Amino acid sequence: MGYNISWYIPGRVVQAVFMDTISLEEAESASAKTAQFIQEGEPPLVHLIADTTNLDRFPTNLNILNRSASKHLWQPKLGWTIVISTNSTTRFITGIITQVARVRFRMFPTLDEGLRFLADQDATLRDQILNTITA
Amino acid sequence: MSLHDEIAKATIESVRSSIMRHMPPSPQKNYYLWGISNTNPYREDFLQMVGIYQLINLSVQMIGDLIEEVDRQTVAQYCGRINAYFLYEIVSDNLANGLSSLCVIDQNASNRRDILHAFNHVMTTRLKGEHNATAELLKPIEGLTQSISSFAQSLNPRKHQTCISAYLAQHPDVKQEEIEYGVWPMLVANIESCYELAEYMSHFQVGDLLQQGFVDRYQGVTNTIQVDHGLPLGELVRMGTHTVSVVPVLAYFAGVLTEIIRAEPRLYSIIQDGTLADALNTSAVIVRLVNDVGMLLTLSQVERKNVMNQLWDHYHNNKSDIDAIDHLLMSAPDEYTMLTRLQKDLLHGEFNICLHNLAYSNSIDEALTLLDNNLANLSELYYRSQTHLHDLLASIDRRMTNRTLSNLIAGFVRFHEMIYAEPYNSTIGEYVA
Repeated sequence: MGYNISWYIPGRVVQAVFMDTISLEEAESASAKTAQFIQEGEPPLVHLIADTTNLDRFPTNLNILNRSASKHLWQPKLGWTIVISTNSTTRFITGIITQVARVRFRMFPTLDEGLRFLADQDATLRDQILNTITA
Repeated sequence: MSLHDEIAKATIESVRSSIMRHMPPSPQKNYYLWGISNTNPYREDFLQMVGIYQLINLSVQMIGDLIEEVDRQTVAQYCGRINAYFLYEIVSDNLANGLSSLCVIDQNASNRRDILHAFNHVMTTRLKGEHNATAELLKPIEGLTQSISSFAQSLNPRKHQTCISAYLAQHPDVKQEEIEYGVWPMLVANIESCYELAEYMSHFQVGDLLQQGFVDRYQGVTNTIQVDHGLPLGELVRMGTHTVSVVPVLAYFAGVLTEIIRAEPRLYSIIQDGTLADALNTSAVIVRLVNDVGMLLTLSQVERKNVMNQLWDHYHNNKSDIDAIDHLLMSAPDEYTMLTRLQKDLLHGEFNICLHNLAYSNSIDEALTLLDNNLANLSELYYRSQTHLHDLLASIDRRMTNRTLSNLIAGFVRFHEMIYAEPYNSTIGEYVA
């Protein structure tokens, strides 16, 4: 499987790590699983960190991605979506989809930078996040 | 009570009545009855999400300046009836999202094409009076519809998720899947409510125009989802014009205003010689063009050349990231939202007369050249159609005893020109004809 979904901070921050090659079916199931995590998370907002640093290939058809692999973006409890990537195509496609879904979204080249941004945005998580970075 | 409030009240009453009479018993039926109920604390969100508010606004815009205060209540009732039909129409129309020539046809898309094919057939045969067994004839596709997420197909899945979450919190015995994948009862209600409208209006002079307009629409949708090759632009315009519901909607309101509310003694003459049909078809061409192309139609040759030059520059500057024409058009800088209608159809995979043939080009360079040609030809058609409609409305004015009919048609076209100039994801641009 080219992805792994887990809690980065239980109930508050979901971490989705993508690697190698992702098929459309995997992108769909990753999105559905992420949606489930967000639904089960603590209100008011659950943040998402999607790490695509080691992702090589993925579906790029905008219509299919927008329709089938964006279930997590519909979730009312979704807070910030932080995408970690240095690949220009990933940044390009992800930027379009999240912009269309009108979610709070930022992209960073490293996980550290993404986490520091999230710590700045959500004061209730600041200490927990900064502890994981320095640990 | 304002006209808006009269229409809102009548629309919600008509929706309730239609759900009760036309929708088979199902979790979907219970959800919709909850959604429009006064006891639902999320009612406003629900009405916005399913498109009822947009439909009410369209009705007010269409007939607001054309009726006397004394007729308000009656006209509001007629608005409510057609709005109830459109509530279902939005759902079935969404099933065609992701079936355009530029989309990848996966299994889910193939299922939706089969569903729409069956749905359109049952609809047209019902309208022609060939059967009275809609639910029975749609039964074979019920299982297929359970593979389709109506939320994912919609233009606002986040709003759907918000409303269903609220519903499930109050109804823990219901599963989300029963609603999200429960589009079948809506299809049955769509056909029955359409038939009821057409049957009612068949007693008036506009009845034939309205019925044929509906039949053309559903046959047109079948044609657009079946075509798997490039077509001449004129043929695409013809197909696209049939699929917008402009002719039946204008025929309906023409009947309400010039036959039901006030009897226009000379209506017969413009129906008999085809003038009214020509005016409604020309309106449909204009609305289809602005729906698909938007503000780009209004540009001068020089302005259009500037837009195309910007697209070429964007492509050359980002060649390594752009591997398809949809990537190019979706990511191009668009300060004045000129590309908004193209972007909407690309993102949602909707049939678009200006984009259809781009899918069959061999390179992005070729696709951009084709886009330039299409824009030039469609702009010319837009101006020709506007001039023709102007002449037809002047002719109608000379022959009728008042200007109600020409004002209705001109106002309807103007309203669509206005909303399709707005970004598609703004509140005003959200309405889909």
